[in-house]
Amino acid sequence: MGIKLFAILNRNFLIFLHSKLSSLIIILGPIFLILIVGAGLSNSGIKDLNANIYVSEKTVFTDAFINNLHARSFITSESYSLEDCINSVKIYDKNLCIELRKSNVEIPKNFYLSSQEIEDSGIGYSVYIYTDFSKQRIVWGIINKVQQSVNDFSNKIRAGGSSILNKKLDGYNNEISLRRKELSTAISLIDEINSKVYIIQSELSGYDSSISDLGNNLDSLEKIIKSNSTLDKPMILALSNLKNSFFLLKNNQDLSGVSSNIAFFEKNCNLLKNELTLVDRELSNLQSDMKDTGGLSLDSVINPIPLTYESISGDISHNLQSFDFFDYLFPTFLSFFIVFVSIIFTTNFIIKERISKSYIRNVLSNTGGFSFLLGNFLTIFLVVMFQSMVIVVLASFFINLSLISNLIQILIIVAISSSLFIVFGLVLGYFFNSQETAIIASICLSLLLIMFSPLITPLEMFPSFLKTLLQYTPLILTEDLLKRLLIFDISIFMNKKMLFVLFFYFLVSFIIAMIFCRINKYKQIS
Amino acid sequence: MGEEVISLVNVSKRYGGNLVLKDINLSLNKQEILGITGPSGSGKTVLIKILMDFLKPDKGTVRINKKIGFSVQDNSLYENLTLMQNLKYFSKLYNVKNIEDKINYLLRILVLEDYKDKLVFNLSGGTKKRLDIACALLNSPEILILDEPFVGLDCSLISQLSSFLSYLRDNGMTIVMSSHILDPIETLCDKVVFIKNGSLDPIQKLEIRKKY
Repeated sequence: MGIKLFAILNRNFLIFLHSKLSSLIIILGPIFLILIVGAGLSNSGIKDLNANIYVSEKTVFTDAFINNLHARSFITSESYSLEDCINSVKIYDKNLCIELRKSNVEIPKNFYLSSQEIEDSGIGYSVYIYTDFSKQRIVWGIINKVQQSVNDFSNKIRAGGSSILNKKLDGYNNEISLRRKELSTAISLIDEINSKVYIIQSELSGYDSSISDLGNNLDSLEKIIKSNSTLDKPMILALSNLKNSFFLLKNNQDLSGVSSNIAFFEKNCNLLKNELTLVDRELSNLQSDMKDTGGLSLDSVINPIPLTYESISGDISHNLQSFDFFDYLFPTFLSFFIVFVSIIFTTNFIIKERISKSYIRNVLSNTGGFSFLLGNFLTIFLVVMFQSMVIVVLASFFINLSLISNLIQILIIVAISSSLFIVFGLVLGYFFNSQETAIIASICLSLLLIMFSPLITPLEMFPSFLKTLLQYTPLILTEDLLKRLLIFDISIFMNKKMLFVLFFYFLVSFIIAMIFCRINKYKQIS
Repeated sequence: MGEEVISLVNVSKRYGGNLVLKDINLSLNKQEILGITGPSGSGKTVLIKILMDFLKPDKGTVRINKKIGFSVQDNSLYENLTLMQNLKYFSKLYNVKNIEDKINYLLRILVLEDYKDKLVFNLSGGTKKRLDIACALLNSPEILILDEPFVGLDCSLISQLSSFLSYLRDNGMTIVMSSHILDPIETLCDKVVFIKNGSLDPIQKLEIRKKY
């Protein structure tokens, strides 16, 4: 069997070799493919986005916003109606339509900005993005880029607002400190008044002070009171009564009235002192509250839960690598290549052999069908492996993924998955009798597998039971294994289950292919 | 009378819903050449394929005692391989011993040595037919089955091929060939059968032309 198997392999490769176009496409096909795709997509982010902008009224803010988009490599044009703006996206003339919609915002009186400043800063504007959600790969990029522009303005407004508020709070704090200082002075003056009153009282009780001394003391007392606005109003009446009593005393020598008025004056002094002390304490509390508020970042109040997103590429030690668009795309690209080449090439190869003139001699040569099945399988397997390696090696010049260091593991994944898809091609090649039908069936099967790729249709969109089934489809398993290995640095040996599932599929499919091969031979000779 | 190497008893075959062969009875001895003739669509190729064991009869028995080699009308060759590569490939499939010697012998007797490195695609119809017969002879068969071997050949090539088949017969080969080209049938065949509407009619060589 070994000699026959080698003869079949040798025959297949000689046929490729003699057909110059076949040889060229086998070798140059993947080279051109990766060169074109690699050169076109490497180091590429989303740039030169064509944006149509609709604003109902042009202002300083709208102009500044458009300039900001320009600075972020947007190509902008303006639309005169929202409908035109959206239609330009529908007909693929533009990538997105941006509407800057102004709504009325109630501004408090004495707000720190004038109405013109408010208009210019963009407060009250809402930004609406209209884009084609079927272009899933760029929608995320579009939203991200416009959001960056919007954030520039939002940050400016937020920073301005919080700075003004901070200044205002500092001003109020200083004012309170000043008032507290005045209160403190007033309280100490009351203490001084009390001591003077005490002297007056002693002089009165000892009858050894002269009326004139008393008069002088009252004058000095009046001066003290009038010197402070805080004491002036509430005490001037008591002082006036005291002075009237003094004059009465001076005229009538009646000291009892004076004594009771001094007591009344002293009582008023103490009451006032108590009230001032209370106010001072309240102000002190207010100040400490304000200090506490000042400790809290205003930014954290204005923007309480900031949202930041980071790629999880790289290893779990957060050694994040910077990947480009094509880096993320490469595992899917390689999986698609394996699917298409393996299935379609194999189907075409088998059907061509079956309709070839030499088929009858092969069938009647006493060589088992298994030898032909295995020989053809190995031929295509070697071709797909060679082409995949060409792609991987050339891709290593374009992309940031660790392809060469992971070459062995990539080879294992490519070997198992391409074997499976080649067997799918064998089944189709032996099942269908006409070349056209077999090719259409192989394209349909490839497309069906690709439609469930996360690149085209995210699994999250399916109901949970279907999602569970679909995540074990061969293409998704291949794609997942390559992604985990190349983007997340997770060895394939950590995903043994996925490898075993693929291998199990391969075994089952190979048995089915053998059955079809045998049925085919039986049908041929019956 | 020689040894009987082919025997068909009451063989019938339906193909595509039609009864193509009806109760065919046929026998052939060693070192004889049987010519099967008849109009197009009469069932010649189906009978040849049954003899090659490429089709199974629906009814009846086919007994072939010896190893067979065959050549079909369209030549069973790889057009994108050279003449030599075709011979080597089929030698390995047929488990031929001493491949080089065998191939050199066939190249010599079929006058193919000058073409051995040429792609089959570039060969003439006559050379392709000779190569196909060479492939049929690789496994040293004792019975050679040929389906329309003279189609597309000019008179000179028909004459060359007839001489070669005669040479094979003289060296012990039993040959069955279908053809609607009558000259070689008349000159070469020991037995001739005429098929029409699936029925076999053994005839004398002189009667062949009257049947058409």
